[in-house]
Amino acid sequence: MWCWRVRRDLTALADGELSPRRGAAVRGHLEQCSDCRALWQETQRAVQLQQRLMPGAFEVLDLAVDPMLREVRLRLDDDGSGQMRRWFWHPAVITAAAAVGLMMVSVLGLFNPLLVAVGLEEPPEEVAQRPELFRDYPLFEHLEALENFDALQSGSGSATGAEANE
Amino acid sequence: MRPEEDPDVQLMLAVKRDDAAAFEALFRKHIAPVVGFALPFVGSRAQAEEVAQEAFAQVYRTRHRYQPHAKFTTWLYRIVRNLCLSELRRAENRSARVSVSDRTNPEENARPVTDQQTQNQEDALLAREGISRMQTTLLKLPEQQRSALMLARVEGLSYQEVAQVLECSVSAVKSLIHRATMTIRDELRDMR
Repeated sequence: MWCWRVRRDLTALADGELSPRRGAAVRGHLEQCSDCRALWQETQRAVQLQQRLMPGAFEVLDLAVDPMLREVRLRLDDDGSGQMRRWFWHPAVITAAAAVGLMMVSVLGLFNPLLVAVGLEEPPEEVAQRPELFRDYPLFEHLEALENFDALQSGSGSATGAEANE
Repeated sequence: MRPEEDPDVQLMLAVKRDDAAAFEALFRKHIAPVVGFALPFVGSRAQAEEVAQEAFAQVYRTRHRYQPHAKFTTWLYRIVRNLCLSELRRAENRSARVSVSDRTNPEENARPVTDQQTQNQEDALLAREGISRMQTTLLKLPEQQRSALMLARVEGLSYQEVAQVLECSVSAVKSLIHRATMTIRDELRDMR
């Protein structure tokens, strides 16, 4: 076996990360090659040194864990409102809200103004009988559905005009 | 160890069920190592703490997507490393690299002498010097080599787990760790 291939595997061998078969092959070579054996001993020492010194190299002591945890919780609380907004747009919530809305306008009669507005339903009888009460309402004046009021107004308009002349 | 045998995985599964106590337990257990891992990336302890806090916030935010395919720490350190890299990219535009001595104080980071009551004063001083030189050498390594080495040597992750964190192949990890080990061996050749 070529030395360079074995040397490439020495660190993994020291870390116990070679497959059993590959490990056996490398160990077999080390028994025969003194140069690689010397390098293997050096690698083992290097790995041991790292294992001993590295944990202390960036070890953090005296960490204020509780304030840090509080800070994380604060951030998550802030996120909570964001999650609520996302929850609001959930399809199930939108469907439920639409169903409630439809029920309100249909069962409670809130739908009728819409039907009157688009001309699908007659206006209430009181409106038809006393249109002068609603004449000053810009809304009513501009509603297409109340076009038939013109006819009513023209019918009663002569009476009103006659009264005014009197 | 299979993922389901990892006690941290069990805690994370509890977090997934909105268990706040489990989240706190994970936080208390891993916050210091996470800050230590982030430290050489970001240059200051305050920034490392900031990254660590954000990492745990992300752990909680994404808890419902967590799948116990691997050790909890592989998932955690992937988040931490990605945050560190983002922070690095931002910092590259802001400032020059901070000197090693400004980043961390080796004497502060070394274990206190009082913790090494079995060693004499001279050994403690040598240990501190060794840690300081190791820190300096680690900071000189390319980011991927340092990450791979720290995850393997400090966090005790296998090459397979390191590969999951770094999102690369096991053979790439093997090469990264080998090159880092050889560099440190050459730098600290006079130490035993």
